[in-house]
Amino acid sequence: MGNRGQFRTWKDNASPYKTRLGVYLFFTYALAYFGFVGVNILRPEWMAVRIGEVNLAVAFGVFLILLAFFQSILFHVLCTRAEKRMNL
Amino acid sequence: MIYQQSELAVALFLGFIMAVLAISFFFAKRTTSASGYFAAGGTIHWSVNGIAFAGDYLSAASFLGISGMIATVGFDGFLYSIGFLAGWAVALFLVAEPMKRLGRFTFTDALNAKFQSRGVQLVASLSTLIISVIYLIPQMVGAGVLVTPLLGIPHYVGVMMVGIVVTIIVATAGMISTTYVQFMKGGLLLIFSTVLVVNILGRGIQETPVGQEMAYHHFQTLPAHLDADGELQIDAAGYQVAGPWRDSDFAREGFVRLMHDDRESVWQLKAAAGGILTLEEALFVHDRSDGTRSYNGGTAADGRFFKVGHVRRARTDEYAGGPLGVFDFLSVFRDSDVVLWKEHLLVEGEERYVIYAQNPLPGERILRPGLMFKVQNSTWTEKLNFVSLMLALFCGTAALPHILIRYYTVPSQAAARKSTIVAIGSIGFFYLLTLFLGLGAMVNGQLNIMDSNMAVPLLARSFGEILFAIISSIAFFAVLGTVSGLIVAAAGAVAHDLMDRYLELDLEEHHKVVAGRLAAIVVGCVAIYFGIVFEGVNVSFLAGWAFAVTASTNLPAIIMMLFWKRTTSQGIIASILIGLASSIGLILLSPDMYVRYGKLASDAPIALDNPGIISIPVSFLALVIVSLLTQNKDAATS
Repeated sequence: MGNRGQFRTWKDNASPYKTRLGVYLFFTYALAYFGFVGVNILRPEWMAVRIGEVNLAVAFGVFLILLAFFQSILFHVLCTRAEKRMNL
Repeated sequence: MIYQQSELAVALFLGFIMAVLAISFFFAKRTTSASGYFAAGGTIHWSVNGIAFAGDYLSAASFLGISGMIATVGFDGFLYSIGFLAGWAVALFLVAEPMKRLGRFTFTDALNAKFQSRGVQLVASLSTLIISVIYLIPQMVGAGVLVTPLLGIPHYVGVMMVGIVVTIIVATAGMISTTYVQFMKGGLLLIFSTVLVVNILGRGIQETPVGQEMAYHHFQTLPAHLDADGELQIDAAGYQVAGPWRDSDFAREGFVRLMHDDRESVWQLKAAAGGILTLEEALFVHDRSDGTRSYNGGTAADGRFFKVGHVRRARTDEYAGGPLGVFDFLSVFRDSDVVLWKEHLLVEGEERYVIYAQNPLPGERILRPGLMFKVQNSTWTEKLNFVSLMLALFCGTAALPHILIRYYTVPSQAAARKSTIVAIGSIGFFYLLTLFLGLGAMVNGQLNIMDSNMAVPLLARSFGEILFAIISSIAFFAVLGTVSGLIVAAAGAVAHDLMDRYLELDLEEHHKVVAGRLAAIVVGCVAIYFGIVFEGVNVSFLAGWAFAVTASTNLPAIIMMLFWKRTTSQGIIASILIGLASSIGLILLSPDMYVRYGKLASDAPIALDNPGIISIPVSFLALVIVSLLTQNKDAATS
């Protein structure tokens, strides 16, 4: 059977912290995303509200795309810092 | 519609094919181990992997389907961009590092690392195989959509051509060649999509589309009135009503057939102020009882089925045409009246007409949801359909087999995380561009209303032959990159998960590679078959189904394995099987499938087009219930 079921494992002391952080950021994002979905089905007329040069629909959609990117950067910075601190 | 073929596009097509084949044969000599074949030896740099992620993910569905959908239904198409990108948050925050930590080559490895269960191995590998094949369908349809008009060959030949090239890429060097093909594709896609958007903004929004290889067809309006007998009279020289009209189906639906210079045309009847009637020119396809078909009263080669996409009333204050910034483009669009096209089906005896009538709408209305997914004044079923799609898009990405295997091509967890961030940045940027690509196609007079998938390449044509050739070739490349990733995933499921691990054939390293190559060839043939069968369906729409199946099968298993300690192997098996059966079953019973069966959509027993809102919770529920019922059994086993 050789090494069946054997996988590379190494001790990452930062793993629990990264998992918690990931869950926290996931729920933050999910709240924003399903907030967008909720407004669309419960108050669709709000999507026409003007925000600067665009309406809420476009502004919210673009916000969700940008939020994913900026959250991912934040996640990486905090994870890297934790790895350096906890895996000395 | 007959497309004008481009020699430059054909040359670039062939150039890309030669390049990817050269890459494949170059790396084939180095691919002697299973790790090299299925996971590129885990040696890919995170930045290359990140762009390859983008190349893997930004498929024909994204590049052709979303932009085409935005071009025909406005913001509702952009919902796919939002949902597809949101799924990456799930991938990064919850899945990326644990999957890298647990797995070796495949998703099944990761599950098996925890449960060591043959049952889990079997169902996980089967679900990977089925999902890969389902997701291959829109990619292969996209391949045919592209190659057919550009090379002037039938759809099935285009699909076969792409299928054969991709199968060679995968069968030779597996994940290594696939990675570099996807890296090149991702980079080119981002660069030239940006170039195209800059051109769109530079042109701005005008009432008469410019940049056509032939003048844009101005859709006419004719005056008309009803005489004392209630018969329609046309107040324009040379036009006569064709056949009896007053009691016809055409009259009931608000249309009229006219003859002019012995040519048939179809017009939509509109009531104007003061009892005056006007007729607006429509486009139509007429399937005659003798089996022949006319396109707007002519043959396909006559070129009378005009390209569409114009603004009826552009905002005139402060803007008289010319270059626009990003926000100015959106605001001018918002304040203009844009002509969309609404499809009507009319059947008179054995004569069948598909009519595309002008449907002018304020830009403001187009820039918010509701033209495709009814959310305002809608029923709860319609609202559920919308939520179901958004849920499936959110949950599907993180569990797509060809995305999951890319975590194993980098050397560490940190590299998996960093490559996912590069992917989010580049994919998010591309999805922002899709809004401008789609709206640009909507107002630049280049849309083939019968095939929204060609919106972006045709839009590029209005900016010149070179950009058209490059964009078409990149779209073709987009298909190659994604299909190759899916075939690697499917081959891994067969050769590594099923043959080597589940059946315990104990293959030598080079035999595993041979098995992977053979599996790739078989999956490639299956992909070709489905690409031919599903011709003509919007590729983003098909991709939505693949996401629903993935979100209902793989995702509950991954999430619960990682975050719920009481998850058992039996719970995982039940979740995958029930998720698979419920999602596919609901798709087969959906209104959209009923239309494909030749039945009425209203006859479908399920009113939902996307199964996610039922199948995803059902799959989670099955996992929880079965896990709770099998706690003791699993403990005894372990």
